[in-house]
Amino acid sequence: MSSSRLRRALATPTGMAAAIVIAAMLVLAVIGPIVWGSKAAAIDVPAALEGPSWQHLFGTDQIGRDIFSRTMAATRLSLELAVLSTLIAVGIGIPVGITQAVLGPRLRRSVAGVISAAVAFPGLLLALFINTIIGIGATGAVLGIGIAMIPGFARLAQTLSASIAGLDYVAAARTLGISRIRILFFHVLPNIAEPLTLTGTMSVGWSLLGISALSFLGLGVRPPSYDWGSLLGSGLQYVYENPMASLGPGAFIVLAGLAFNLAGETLARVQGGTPVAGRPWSGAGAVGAAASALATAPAADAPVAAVADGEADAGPGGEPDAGVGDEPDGPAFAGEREPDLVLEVSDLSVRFPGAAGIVTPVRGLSFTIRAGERIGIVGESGSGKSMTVLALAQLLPYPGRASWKSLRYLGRDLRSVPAPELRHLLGTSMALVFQDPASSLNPALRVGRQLAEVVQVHSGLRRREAMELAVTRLREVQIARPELRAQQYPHEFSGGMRQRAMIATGLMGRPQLIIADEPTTALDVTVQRQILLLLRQVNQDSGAAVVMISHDVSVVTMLCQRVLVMYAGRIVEDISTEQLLAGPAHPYTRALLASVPDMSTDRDRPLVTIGGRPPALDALPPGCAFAPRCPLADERCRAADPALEPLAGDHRVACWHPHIGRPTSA
Amino acid sequence: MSKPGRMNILEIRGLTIRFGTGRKTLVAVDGIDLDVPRGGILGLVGESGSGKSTVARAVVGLIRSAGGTIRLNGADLTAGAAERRAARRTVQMIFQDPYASLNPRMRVSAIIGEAMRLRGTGAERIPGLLDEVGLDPATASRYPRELSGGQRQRVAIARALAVEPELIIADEITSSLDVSVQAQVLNLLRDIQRRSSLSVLLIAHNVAVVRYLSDSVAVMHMGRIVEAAPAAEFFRAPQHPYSRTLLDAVPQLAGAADTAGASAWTPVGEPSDPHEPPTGCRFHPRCPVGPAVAADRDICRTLDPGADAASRPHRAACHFAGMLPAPPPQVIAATPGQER
Repeated sequence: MSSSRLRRALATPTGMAAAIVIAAMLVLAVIGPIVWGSKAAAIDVPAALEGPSWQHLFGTDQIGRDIFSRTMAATRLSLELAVLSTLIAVGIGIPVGITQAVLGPRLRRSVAGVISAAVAFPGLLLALFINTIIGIGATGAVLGIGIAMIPGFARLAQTLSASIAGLDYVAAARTLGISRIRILFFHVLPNIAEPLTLTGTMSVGWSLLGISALSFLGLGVRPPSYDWGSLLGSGLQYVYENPMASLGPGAFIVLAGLAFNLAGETLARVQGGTPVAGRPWSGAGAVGAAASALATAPAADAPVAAVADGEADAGPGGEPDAGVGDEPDGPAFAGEREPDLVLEVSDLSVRFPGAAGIVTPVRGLSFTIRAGERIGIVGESGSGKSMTVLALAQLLPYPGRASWKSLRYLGRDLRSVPAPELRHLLGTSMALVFQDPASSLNPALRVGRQLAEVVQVHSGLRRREAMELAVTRLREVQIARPELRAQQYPHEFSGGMRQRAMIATGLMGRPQLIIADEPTTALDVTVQRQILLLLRQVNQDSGAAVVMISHDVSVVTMLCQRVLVMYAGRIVEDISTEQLLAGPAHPYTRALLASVPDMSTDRDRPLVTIGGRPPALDALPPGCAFAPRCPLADERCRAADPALEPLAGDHRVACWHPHIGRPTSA
Repeated sequence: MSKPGRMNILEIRGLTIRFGTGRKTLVAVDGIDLDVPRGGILGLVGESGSGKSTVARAVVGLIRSAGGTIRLNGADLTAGAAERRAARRTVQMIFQDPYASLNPRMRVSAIIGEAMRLRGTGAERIPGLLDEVGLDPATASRYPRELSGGQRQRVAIARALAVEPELIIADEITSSLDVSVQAQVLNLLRDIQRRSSLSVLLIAHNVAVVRYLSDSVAVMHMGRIVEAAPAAEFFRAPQHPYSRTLLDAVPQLAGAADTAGASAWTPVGEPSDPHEPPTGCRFHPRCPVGPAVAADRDICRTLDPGADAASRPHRAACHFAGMLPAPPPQVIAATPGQER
């Protein structure tokens, strides 16, 4: 663990409190018996059973010994016993657990069985049992608690190391012929050390409580030795005369137990903190978050479901733009604006507050989507393509924020639409299809029910009608025997069928815009083709516009008529597929096309590559973001960022040196 | 058949691998024959679950086989531990995901150094090796988390090369990388292979990648090799209908726009359950020219065509192998924008 992270953890209130209390306890453990030892043992029978006073803060016991001094002096033994028993648990449990990573399959199974059985046995009962066998006393208590905690540690270490053992770097080490012992110590242990440390820390608190409990019951530390538990026990005999005699030692047990638990919590937070400090805007996480947002969205706005696909929106609100385009086939697109625009956005930006200031994964995009159009958004990871559509769908993961100069969807200014109505509008007219159909469908619900739920919520259809519609939609996405399939669960579907079901879900609400984020990346090539065909079919049948996001420009050209190429959060080229294949204008697009091997790539020449790597979003160059990797870049490119300007007709490009004219070969 | 180990560095015969026991048994690899030519690249193509990665893991000893032989330089790796130990210096593997294949707690120098110890060479070769894979020698002191995906994959390649192997198994090494980085890594693999006449078993689902690099090609489907041929031969005249569906599904940049049009070579229906593979030819329920379409081809249902005669240069496990219509001529013109 890095020291800076530890320092940050200590700066939190809980971290600081835990550190201070543990430090104080450790000091007490060292000096306690030295400073208070003689006073704690001093018998003063005439002063027996006195209440709290300045001389005796917690009062005195039956033979007049000062309970405060005894509590202080007991710190060392109490902590020692707790640490000892934790060491027993850690020292046996972890080795047993991590051998799972290197044992052969048969031995592994039997050890796992023993661990599972032991975990099922109640811990404190086991401790009492062992304590009785070994003999009542400090040794018995330590062994009892220690042994009782072994199965827990073994199970934890087993689970953690099994997850590491499945990773490729362990497989790589095995193919190198590295010994099992070395694999264990160099590849497995360092990668599970953090969670084990924190559990170990918390266990000190737990075993302190356990041993104190045993001592309190008279099964642990016995006179003439004493720990907090036994002091608490003996103090309880005269709790009515002097409550402090038991409350004092009790308070120390609670304090120490709390401190160790808080320390564990703090360590856990430090470790859990790493992913947050990473890149919150990276694709995978965002899509996951968005998928769950999508799943919950329909349920959230049940009250407005009465407004079904309706013309009602245009009514008394009196907004000039309201209601336009709610009727998919109707002539409702009134007015002087461009009649067939599904979406029109200008200057769209997405910002994420990060550790090193604000990062903007999407920077000032302007584009339009016409009705019935199939548009592709292409870019490499981190180019902002997923963030763009998540912003349009109002599904940006926290703490991202989108801003725009104007955003008109189906002819309405999204800023003027109140939140519940917005959810309804997007829920019925926009469909999203994500990369991983396995995680976008609820595994516990039958597929038909999931589809039906969408219209039940948004259009107020009855259950039966909704189910019938679901079956119709499943048939439309070419799922064979849809009546039967509707009754099945997602896990009974193949990957391609799940993606079809996702598309069918989108079709339930009569969408005008279908956004598909890498819809075929998780699928095989033959299935990919079928899904692309289906998307085109849906586009032609329903007239819905399709926006497909992909990292693979060749896949996009199979489906789309127009392609937006993104680089470092900006659109660098907006180009028709025909023009793209004939020869794009932006150097990045050109290099991107050339670097993909296809069935006509010359085998005797190396592939064209783009030198360097995309800029970090928090360290963008002042001029064109592609300039550091561009063969054509000059002073102007490095100084000023080119705007996305029309080149010819609808073809727009953001470059000071666009490639114009017929493509020539070198 | 040629003398073992002469022409082919790796010869697999009748390899069978099972997962699970009892009714849940999955035969992931079902008696396959496969040769990797010495100094050449064999591309092994197939869709997810076809068993191609399982073959790779069996060759490097990560998975035990249930039958058959794996001969590396003539020595049978399935015979015993001594052979397997000796093989570790001869064969190395590069994994798909460079984010999972490097230990996050080890510096690059330690990752490569660990592999070098096996060879008995010292750390002084590390800078040269990093240079060979196109990395700054200063990378040695970095941790994997400080590197990009492409740089990580280069480190993984350097680790494999550190052992000075004769055969490298590259399992989907570019499928988790961005396209511009994919080209860099493919070029690197091509350079290294040519420079040191390495033999490579290249596993990929991307047919275009396999076409670009391979000297010969094998197609795997549901645990079996359905077609194997020299690359030029295979891409000129693929003989198995499954190979045709794979080739047809490859996105074509050079073709006309909007190429997702329906094709005669699209598989029928949904993938079969690998736990209960179809009888006869395993592709028959999905075959676009099989019994699902042509009623007179009932033989596909009942009789396993089998890829017999491993000695034949172009073998296809199909009863109607020679009778497929030829594919349209390949577009040879360079892709627009390919000039440098």
